[in-house]
Amino acid sequence: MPISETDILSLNDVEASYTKGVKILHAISLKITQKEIACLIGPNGAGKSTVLKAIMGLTNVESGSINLNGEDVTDMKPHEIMHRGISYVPQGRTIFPEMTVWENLRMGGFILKDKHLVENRIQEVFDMFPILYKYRNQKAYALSGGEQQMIEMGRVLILDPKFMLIDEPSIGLAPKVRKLVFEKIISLNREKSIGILMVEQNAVQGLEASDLGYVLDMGRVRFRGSGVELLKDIRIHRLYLGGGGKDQPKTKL
Amino acid sequence: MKSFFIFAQLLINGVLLGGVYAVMASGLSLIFGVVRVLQISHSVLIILGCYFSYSVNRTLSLDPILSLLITMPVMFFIGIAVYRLVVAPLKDAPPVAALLAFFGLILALENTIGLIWTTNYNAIHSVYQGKSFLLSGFVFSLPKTIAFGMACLVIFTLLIFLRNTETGRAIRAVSQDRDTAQILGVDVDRIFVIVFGISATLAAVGGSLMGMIYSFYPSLHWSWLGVVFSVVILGGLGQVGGAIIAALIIGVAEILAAYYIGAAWGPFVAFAILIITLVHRPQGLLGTKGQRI
Ligand SMILES: Nc1ncnc2c1ncn2[C@@H]1O[C@H](COP(=O)(O)OP(=O)(O)OP(=O)(O)O)[C@@H](O)[C@H]1O
Ligand SMILES: [Mg+2]
Repeated sequence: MPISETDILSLNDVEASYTKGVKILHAISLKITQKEIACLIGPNGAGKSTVLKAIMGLTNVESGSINLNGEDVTDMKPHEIMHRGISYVPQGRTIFPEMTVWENLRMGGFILKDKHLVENRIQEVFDMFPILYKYRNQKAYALSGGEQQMIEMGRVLILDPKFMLIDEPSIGLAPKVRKLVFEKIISLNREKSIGILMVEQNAVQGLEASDLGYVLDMGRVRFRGSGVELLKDIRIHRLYLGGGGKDQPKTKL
Repeated sequence: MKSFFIFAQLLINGVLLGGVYAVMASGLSLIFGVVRVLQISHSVLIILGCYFSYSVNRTLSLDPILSLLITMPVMFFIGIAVYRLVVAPLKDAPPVAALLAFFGLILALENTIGLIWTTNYNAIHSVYQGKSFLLSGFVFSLPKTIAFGMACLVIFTLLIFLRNTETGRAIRAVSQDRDTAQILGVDVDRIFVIVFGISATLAAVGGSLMGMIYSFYPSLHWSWLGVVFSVVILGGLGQVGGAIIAALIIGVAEILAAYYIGAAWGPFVAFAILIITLVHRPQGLLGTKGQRI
């Protein structure tokens, strides 16, 4: 095995459930490095969010394993996983609405003892997202959807993660803002070497921004490939982008 | 002119009382805002705190305010015990189970208080008892003014704690989005423990200040229950800031009603305000949708 200079996050045949015995994920395997952006796409209820939650230790992993750079993190608690460099931005708005932008970012460093370090990292986030600096003393609810998404990304950056799991970063955003969010995600990956695993409903934009794509359905990986490959793949267009083929049973595709 | 003067004097008395109500109710509001349970035994903790201060005051002949230095930490741990023994075990039970358990706690504590301290009227003594001073022609009862000052100090400390400390921010974060706070590494159970401790401490302060102003007996907490619920609902469930304003309104309304309608009408007015709020403005005075602090 070659020794890589970046960390690797991998899932190996993971089966996961919320209620013991009721498996939502079946034999999920995937792998990303700190240099990559990977995108999970698939219909509603496919299990995309569950993959991210499984990595964060928010589900029961019934079999298979999750590894971070060779270390087994399968049964760790969320905060232990965060300490090892994986951060998670859940689906939906999860800002603290009645707290200021600065307080929201500060909560991102809650588990760090060194508050001086937290302040330095908040400054870095402000450098990355100048709009957050401008509104640092505003209550978060008063910001726009795109700005709130930036709070959420900024908040997990305080832990200086190696990997960032982002669930539907562009949901509910205007097309222009959406583009901006994807640009930020790409620059986090390129400039800060943060490996990104994101879930996207906007499959085209999601795959365009990604190095790798995984198509999930019914808790299984149906297709995998480079972002470009999957984009080209007509089967994906039929299945998930509304490009026809409605009368064909999914399993045949 | 004279009637205006009387009105202004009543306003002063109402605000002084309202300040104490704010401390009494803030703990209940805090628990609802963070833990999302209706702690209906809050008022029995208020009177328990009052009796603790009474005992400290009697046995050590300590000033009531200084007695708080002993009462507050004791009640902090009692609050934690309430969480550990009553609330936590019923976490997954239907909400009515917690209500029943709190009700049981009310009866148990009220009877225990009666056994220890008798059901007679009692009062907390101080050197300034019955004294007052004049300011711009208005009478300020010394115990009430000192109680109000202490109430302001405690509320101010609470607000500063919630705004400006790591733990305070974590408490607000849990109140605003429990799951996200958890994902960020906040130990929610520990936050609940702290909140119950703080709430009982606030109850103790409120009860002790009431005991400085009025005489009391074990079952008096039932009428305080009406007051604290009126305050918390008028202020908006779980909104500590709203509760403070609501407490002043209820305090003033009570004093005005007692003077202009009749002494017995004070508590009724608080209750009427409660009903009117529930019908017309269930989200409370400050009127946001969420229950946040
Ligand atoms: N907390 C939960 N408890 C039990 N079942 C759940 C829970 N969350 C999701 N599920 C179930 O798991 C399955 C996969 O859900 P998941 O949220 O992972 O889908 P998704 O691909 O993210 O869908 P969407 O595009 O709608 O977000 C669904 O059948 C869903 O009902
Ligand atoms: Mg999802």
